[in-house]
Amino acid sequence: MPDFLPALIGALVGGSVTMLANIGRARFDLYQARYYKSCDEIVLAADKSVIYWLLEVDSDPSLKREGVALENYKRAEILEIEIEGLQQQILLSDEYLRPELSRDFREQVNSNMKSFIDALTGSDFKSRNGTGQKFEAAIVRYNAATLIESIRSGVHERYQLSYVMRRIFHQH
Amino acid sequence: MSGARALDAQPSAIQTKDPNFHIIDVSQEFSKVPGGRFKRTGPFSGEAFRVEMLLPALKAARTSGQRVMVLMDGVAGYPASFLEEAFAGLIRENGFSFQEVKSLLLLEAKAPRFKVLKEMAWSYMKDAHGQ
Repeated sequence: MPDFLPALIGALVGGSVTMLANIGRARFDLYQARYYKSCDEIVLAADKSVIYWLLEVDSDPSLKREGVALENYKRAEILEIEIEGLQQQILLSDEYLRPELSRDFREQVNSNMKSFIDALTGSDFKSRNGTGQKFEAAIVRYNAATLIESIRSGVHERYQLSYVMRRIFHQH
Repeated sequence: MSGARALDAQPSAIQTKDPNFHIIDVSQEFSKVPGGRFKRTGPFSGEAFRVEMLLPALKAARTSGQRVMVLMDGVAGYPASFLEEAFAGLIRENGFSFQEVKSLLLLEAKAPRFKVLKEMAWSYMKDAHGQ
């Protein structure tokens, strides 16, 4: 056996392990970046939604009410566009995040996502009329926190050794 | 990748123009930007979609034996208020039973982000049925 062979094998094995570790690390970093982005979008949407639900809006601009009401009507329209855009972004981020979660968390996130979207753009969204709706605002906050918590738990579980082992041995 | 293949492999009434389906493509026939809940507060509302598109199609389907397929993809997004009024309104306002709607209506969404909204539309109908 040539003298250099053990050194060559050692270098190859070491290189392969380092490469695999780097790939794993890069994948983790990418996943975590998506997770943080998704959470940011949820929080931003919730913030805008709270402002939206608390606005006193007269949805009939033909009334031409002076001052605050008409100004709030325009503001509400802008917020509606922003919130709807954020809803789409959140659902797009969800496309990437969800398949990576364990089955239990996927279902939980799915359920919480629906509740959040419902709170975000449900009720009389795009048909606002009248005084601020404190209840809707509080529900958005609550659902945002619940959704983020379930995504966080799913991501956290994914990087537990027990989860990795379950995936390796197909007991997942 | 495999998910995309699985979607492509699904039998599609859209591709085959299946005569058993009356197809409503929301983005092409209604609006790429669905509005809110009520007609009186803005254009392309859930109420308008229900009254002008869904209801005539479902009433015709009752007699023709066709099913109504709503293609949900291709729009900017659906507010939950639109979905609730358009679909749950069929049960709440127009006297359809949940079972009847289930047998006549098919919601189709290929993009995963619309699948969540499709599930929401069905759960609104189920809730309206329970009320």
